[in-house]
Amino acid sequence: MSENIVEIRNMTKQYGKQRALDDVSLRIKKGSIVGLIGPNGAGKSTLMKIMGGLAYPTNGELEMYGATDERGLNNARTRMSFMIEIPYAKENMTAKENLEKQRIQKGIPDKKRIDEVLKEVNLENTGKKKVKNFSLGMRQRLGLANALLGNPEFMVLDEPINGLDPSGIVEIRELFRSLNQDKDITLVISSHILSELSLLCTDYIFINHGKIKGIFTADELKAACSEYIQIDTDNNELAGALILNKCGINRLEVTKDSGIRIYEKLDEIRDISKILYDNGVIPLEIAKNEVSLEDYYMKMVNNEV
Amino acid sequence: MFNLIKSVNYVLKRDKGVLLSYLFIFIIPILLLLMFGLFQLPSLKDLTPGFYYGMDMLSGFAAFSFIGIVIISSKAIAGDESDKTINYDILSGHRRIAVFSSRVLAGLVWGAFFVLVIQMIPVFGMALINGWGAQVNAKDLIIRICLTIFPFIRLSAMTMMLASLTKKAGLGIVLGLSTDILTSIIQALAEEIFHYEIRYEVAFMNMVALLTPENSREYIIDGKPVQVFDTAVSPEMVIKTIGFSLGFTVLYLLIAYIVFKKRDRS
Repeated sequence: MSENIVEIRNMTKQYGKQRALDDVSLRIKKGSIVGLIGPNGAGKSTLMKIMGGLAYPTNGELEMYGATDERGLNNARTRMSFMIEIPYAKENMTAKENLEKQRIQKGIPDKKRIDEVLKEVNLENTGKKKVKNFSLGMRQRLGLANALLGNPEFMVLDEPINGLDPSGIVEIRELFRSLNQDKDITLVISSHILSELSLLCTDYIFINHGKIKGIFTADELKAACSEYIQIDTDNNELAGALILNKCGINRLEVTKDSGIRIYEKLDEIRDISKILYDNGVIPLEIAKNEVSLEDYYMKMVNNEV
Repeated sequence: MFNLIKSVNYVLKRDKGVLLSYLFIFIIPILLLLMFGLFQLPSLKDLTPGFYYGMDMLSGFAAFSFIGIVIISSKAIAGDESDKTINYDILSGHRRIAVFSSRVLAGLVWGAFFVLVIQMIPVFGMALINGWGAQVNAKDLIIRICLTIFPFIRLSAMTMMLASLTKKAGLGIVLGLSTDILTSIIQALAEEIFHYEIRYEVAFMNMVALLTPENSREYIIDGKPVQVFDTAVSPEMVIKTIGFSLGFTVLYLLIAYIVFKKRDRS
């Protein structure tokens, strides 16, 4: 059985009248790559800040590496690294100087580690260029270098591919994959670029308005995003009832705008259309389609799933 | 916590604002002392008993040291707040008390102790040139200089509280200087209206009291004018200087820490 390195139980975070997290419960397994998905203001950063000790929960419990008390959580954080919101840095210092400051505060004895991580994120040639002259992509890379500095077992990364160009995204994706597979580093990644997450993650957490909307493994999400039969008829309400009662299909949805979607027995398209026809319902459109992760995400955050 | 202090020092050493402040504190007294002709005019040279005279002169323009303390202390406590790099310390698993204390210690050393040392360099330099001066008691002077660290610490703590609460070094500097000016005005008004002498209640006045000669008299000895000072340090001066300074320091830092501990980091 996989070991849970983070467990959040019934967590609520209130900022004045606004509830940033609402009864959130989740687990993060060791060795997984978790995609944290939600729109702006969904509560992703708040969740990460609480894990990082930057914010306190109003209610609920946080357990990391088996610890729930402050001392234990701080010890757990020494095994983790975080990149939350924009990567912070000293603007008037170079990438190397910024990392040197972090190396000192983390108590990492080996100075060479700075060159290693700069190379890993492709920032080894920035020389004396100060961070204030960095592009957003370079800042992201510096943030990643900082997160890698202490050889963490678990990385929590907020929008890590923001500002990267397409080749940079591929490169960082490969880096994450290699960190996970070769070094057994657990990753929690939030991103708006869902297609990127779908290429990487083993688990997904959907969050909106501070509430967990769904937790899936990659296989489960793949199943949820898989193909469906799209049917539009002259009487969708009756058609829906017929499909439910006469075709033995339970996973379907009937909407006003897009007709009927059937998510099972996809090979029985001919039988379904015959049943509809025999019962006086005229199919106007029958097609096999696919739900993209983006579609599923939109449905999830809009409570349509 | 030692690693945290080292990392704060690493940044402060590279901060141009801090280095310029030290330069300012070092150069201004020298320029003013030169302007007053202490190094040049023979008559003044004869007049001055050296070290103590320089110290007395310093009390006249100690406002420059105070500006330096405010700037450096603000940067030490809140330099990492403005750019949020302080968050890395917390994310790395350091306890908030350690994150806060490391900056306070750095602020006190860089903002109070180093300023005092740098401020005294021109005075010691002048003593080397003009001599210590037979008219003053060396032990008294050393005690007075050592005591000066206390109002410095207090001012540094007040500034650190303001900068920490506002989470901005720049705002801390503005508020620190404004508070200094305001307390000086209140002190002047209080003395004028209520005829109440404020000395130890205000850090600046405390420092001036420590560096200012009392009951100085001018004598003609061997045809030369010589000032003789009463440099004795009264127990009241020692107790009130330490008591007021440490009392306020603890209060300021406690307020700042409670807010720092409880507040969510943005």
